[in-house]
Amino acid sequence: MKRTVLLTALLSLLATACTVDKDYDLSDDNLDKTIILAKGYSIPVGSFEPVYIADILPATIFPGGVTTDVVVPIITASFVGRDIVIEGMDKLYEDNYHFTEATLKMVVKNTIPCNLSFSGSLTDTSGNIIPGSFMDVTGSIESGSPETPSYSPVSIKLTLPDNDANFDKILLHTTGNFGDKTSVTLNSTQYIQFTEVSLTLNSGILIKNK
Amino acid sequence: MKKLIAIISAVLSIAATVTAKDFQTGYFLKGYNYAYRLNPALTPNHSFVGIPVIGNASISTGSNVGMNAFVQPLDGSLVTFLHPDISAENALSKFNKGANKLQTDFNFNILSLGLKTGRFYQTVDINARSMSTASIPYELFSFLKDEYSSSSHFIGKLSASTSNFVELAYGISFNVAGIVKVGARVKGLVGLANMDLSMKNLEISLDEERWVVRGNGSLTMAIDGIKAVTKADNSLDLSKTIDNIESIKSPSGYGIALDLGAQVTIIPEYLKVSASITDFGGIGWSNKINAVSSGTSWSYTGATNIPLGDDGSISIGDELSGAFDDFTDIISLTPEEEVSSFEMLPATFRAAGELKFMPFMTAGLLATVRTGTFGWSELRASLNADYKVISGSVSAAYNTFGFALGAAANLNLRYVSLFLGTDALYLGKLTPQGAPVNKLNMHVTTGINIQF
Repeated sequence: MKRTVLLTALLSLLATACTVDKDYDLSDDNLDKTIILAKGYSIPVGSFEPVYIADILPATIFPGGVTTDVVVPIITASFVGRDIVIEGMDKLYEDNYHFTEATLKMVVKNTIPCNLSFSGSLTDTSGNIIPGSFMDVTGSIESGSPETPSYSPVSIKLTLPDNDANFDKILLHTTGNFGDKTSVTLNSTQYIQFTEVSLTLNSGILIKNK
Repeated sequence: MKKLIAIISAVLSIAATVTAKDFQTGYFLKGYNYAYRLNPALTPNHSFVGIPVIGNASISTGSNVGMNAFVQPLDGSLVTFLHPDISAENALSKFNKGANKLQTDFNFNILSLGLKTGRFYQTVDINARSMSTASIPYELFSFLKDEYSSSSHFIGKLSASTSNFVELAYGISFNVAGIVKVGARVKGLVGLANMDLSMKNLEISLDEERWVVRGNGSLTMAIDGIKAVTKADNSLDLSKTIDNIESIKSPSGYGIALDLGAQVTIIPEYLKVSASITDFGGIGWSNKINAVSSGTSWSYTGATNIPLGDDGSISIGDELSGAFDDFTDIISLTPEEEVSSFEMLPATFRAAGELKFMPFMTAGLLATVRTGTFGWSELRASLNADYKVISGSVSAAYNTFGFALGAAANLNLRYVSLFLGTDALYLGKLTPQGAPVNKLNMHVTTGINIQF
């Protein structure tokens, strides 16, 4: 009799050993597939074609189209230049990649004989500044020349609100100064070039429920 | 990145299939008809017919990592370990520091017959068998989850294999010199599908200037009707290749295997020892897919002189997307000529001793070593009792996947026998879908047989 009870208890144990935990419901409705990857990792982008002087300096200083050296007298040491547009960030969102903080690093080669610095803003696909976005630029571009270009490291920290899927462009507002020069020699072949460009994903890449 | 995750998902899905295997606790269970599968000398004292499909059905999984390592409840939802609100420390603490293994072993009895004829006992079986295994190193989870701490990550070896075949077996056992009982089974094997995926010495180095990936990858697949689908760069598009598989109409391999076993009575009624080797043999597979990694090293340093837009703008999006796409090439495999391969089954060695210490109870010790890709080892101790028409066993084991408790009961009526048991009594929680939440190390077996 005792043995029969023992075996019955054994069978009962098998039947009741497990409990269902509803917190682990694996159905699609309950499973949040949002993931974050590559926190702190950098993507090597490479180098871009030159951005020529006519697209940087205002027409009042250099009208463009001048292919020979022109000696320009300096009337005001500082100036506000044209915007340089870094675009196509929306490509990332086509694959549902999001990030809230990233750093764009580069070495800028400069053959233009003036110092340049950047400030800027982040815009969406409609061209509007994204509310809550922030851009912080570290480093400025030293004056150079075609014979002795300068190479200046620049770091641009990008901060975006959570999951902004409309981020498209980085507008780099340029300002420049000629220092204490009274005149400079300008030529339309002078340029700046973004080299050794990389994007560091401080916040990682967020991939929403794919 | 996405492809890495896809690979992990595929590897897990291969190994997480609910499966069945031979019932270790049944080795000493009195009246259990199928102990001859573990040792062909251990045949029952009566003839039997297994009721097709339910004669011997069981489910089991073996793993040294739990489902709760991959998913966790958070704020009313279930999230993956890669969710941004799951810390790296929390997530990585649930994985094994070495290889994270998942293994399944399916042995589904389609037909079985045991006949006692004079001094001989003969068996005939038709079984569908499937063995799957996957191994993912801790370093891969760390690479995916951890914040950047080092530019170089040595991932090591990532592998997944599955072998699926039908087994037609004939066995015989008989007594020799009174105290020795021997048995043998010969098995013809008809291969249905086989796959081996391996990435060795995988090393990923990422920094601002350069991404470098090194590793040797290979993939073989033997499945009727499968054809390699390639991408523009001639690398294998694995997902489309698998999607194109139609129904399997003919075998992809043939083989043969042998089981041998013996039981010796040392002290009549009180002490027996036994040993066996099973699955000694292999299958010759005709591999329709034979692909290897296109190189031992892949490097990405970014592009040079990326053109500006028509308006002089700098377009960075294409380059960033391209970098991600190129990164997926780390497991790029290029199809080569079809090859045949012979793969040994994972031979299993067992040695056991059984001591009767009370009129109705015995104690047993069973050591098991399974070799090869699907290998595991185990030491299992059991207490076994039988009383009239009912018998039972409880067992405790330590094996490759950790500690396991087993239990079994067998009811032997005049013409019908029923059994229910487990090699890995799962005492934890289940998902509403019935999967174990903790270590995927569970096993349940049951069956009904007609005996005469």
